[in-house]
Amino acid sequence: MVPTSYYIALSGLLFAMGMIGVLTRRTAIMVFLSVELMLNAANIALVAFARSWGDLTGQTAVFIVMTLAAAEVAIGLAIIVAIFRKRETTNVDDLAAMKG
Amino acid sequence: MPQLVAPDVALLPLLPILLVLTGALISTLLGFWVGRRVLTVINIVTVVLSGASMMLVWNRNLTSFAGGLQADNAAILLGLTILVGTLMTLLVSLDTAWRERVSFPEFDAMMMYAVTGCLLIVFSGDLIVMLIGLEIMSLAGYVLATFQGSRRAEESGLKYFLLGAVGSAILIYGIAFVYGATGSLNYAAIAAKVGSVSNLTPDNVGILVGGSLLLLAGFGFKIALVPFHQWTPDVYSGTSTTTFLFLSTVVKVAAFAGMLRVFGGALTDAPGWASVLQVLTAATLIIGNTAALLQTNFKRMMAYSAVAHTGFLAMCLLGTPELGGAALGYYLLVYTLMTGAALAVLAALQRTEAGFEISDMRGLYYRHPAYAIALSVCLASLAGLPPFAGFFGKYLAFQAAFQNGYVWISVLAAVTSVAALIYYLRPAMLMFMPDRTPAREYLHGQRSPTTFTVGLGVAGITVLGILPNVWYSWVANPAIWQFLAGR
Repeated sequence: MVPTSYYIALSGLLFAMGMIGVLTRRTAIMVFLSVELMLNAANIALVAFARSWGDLTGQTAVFIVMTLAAAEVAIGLAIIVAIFRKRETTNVDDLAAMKG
Repeated sequence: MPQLVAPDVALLPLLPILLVLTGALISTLLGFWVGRRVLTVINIVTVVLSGASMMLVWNRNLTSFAGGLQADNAAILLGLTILVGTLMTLLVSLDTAWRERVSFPEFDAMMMYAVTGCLLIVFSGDLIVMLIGLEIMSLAGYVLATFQGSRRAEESGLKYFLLGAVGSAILIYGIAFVYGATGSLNYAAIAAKVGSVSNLTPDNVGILVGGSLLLLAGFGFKIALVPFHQWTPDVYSGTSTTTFLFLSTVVKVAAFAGMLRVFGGALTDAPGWASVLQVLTAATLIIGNTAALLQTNFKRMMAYSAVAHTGFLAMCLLGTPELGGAALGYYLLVYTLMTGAALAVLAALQRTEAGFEISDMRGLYYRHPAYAIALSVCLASLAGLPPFAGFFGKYLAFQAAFQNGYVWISVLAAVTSVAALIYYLRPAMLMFMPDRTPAREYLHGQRSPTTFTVGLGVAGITVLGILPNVWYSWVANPAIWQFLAGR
């Protein structure tokens, strides 16, 4: 059996990749994609921990997180499309009318 | 053949949430046929009914969904605070929504869905229910922020969405780690496990500390704790003022309620998070107050004032559950009343959605005497001047942190309060200076629902300031907060 720590290392790696993506990517879509990566890292961690505790609660939680991620996609893409229609760009650096 | 066990679904503790959800569903469906004002009135009724139904479950500590939902007294007190904020927003929106070009039924529907999520956080008994509530609240909040469709609103909506999504992802990762360390998602079970270190192996203590810090960061995004506050001024000042009112009162109260449930309840005895929270609180106090001092636009100043108040409110979480919970319960209601009333005046009198410049407020007293006096009462209360309730709220927050050994935070908060005094009282003084230039604000903003809201806020902060026990005697019962912490 693969030890739990391996799974947690994988999920940590995914989470870090997502975080780096959020901090460095400049298009709204790519930032959003990186957030999805972070959510899936959390899912892997939940499943791995659920297995190590021999408890199903964590695995059911994953379903809820997946549903939340889907809802977030619906809202997020709607906002991004609304902005793209008006400005023909989704570069987050162009959205800087307000500062300070 | 395993027996199928019917889930434990008691509807009575769900009733306040269901009533608000009914309002949301009515707005969604009836929105095709009736105008928005009718829906707003219906929603006001459902909010009042929901408040009344909370009285039904008072003192009964009911649970539902096998502990997933808890209608304990802490939930009811914070839930009532949320409903007060909602009521103020709905009343103000009756007057301002058409001017802000958000007067369509979806606005009400989204707001009521957000309130449903807020109540779900407040009534949550485990981390997953809290997460669902938080997401319903945030997703509806992103839509509300974008709703106006202007360039500023879209910018604010996208910023809110992207940073809110990152915050949620960090929060979920934190939930996974706390689950990994304790093997449970239920607050009471986590508190029991965390209560004595011998329950946890050293590995698990490490995972628990990591999880609670991730949770702290995730919540930090929601309540605008420095350094996770960067979206706050842009989102609040870019969106319509009615939405600003909603986001800075109701949504913030709900996020703090979630923090109180998690850090004041489940993770009270967990190591690590308090020392990080005190550093973040100090940073919030310094940066929030300093930045507010530099603003020239009143709406943006109020946005930074919301960040600064996050610092004062977060001090309550540093206290022991008994003192800190009571202080937070009192301060959140007062914060809702004074911020709500001040923003109601701003929403009524601003000419454009950019709010007005502080210099334009000169002579406001001679043009709108009642609103000018009300606004200066709110600003004095926000600054923490007696005899208004903001003073007592700050005093309780300082006391909670001080008595739990965070002396330096209390001293720092007292120093930053002096800076707060300057930026709150400068517009208040300008309003009473004579001015001969033509008015730079909207002259027909004085309408009865807004006046009622402002009156409610001003009366609330005055009465609660002179007779704090009207509300404090309810929240000060230590049993409520000890119950929350599972003791």
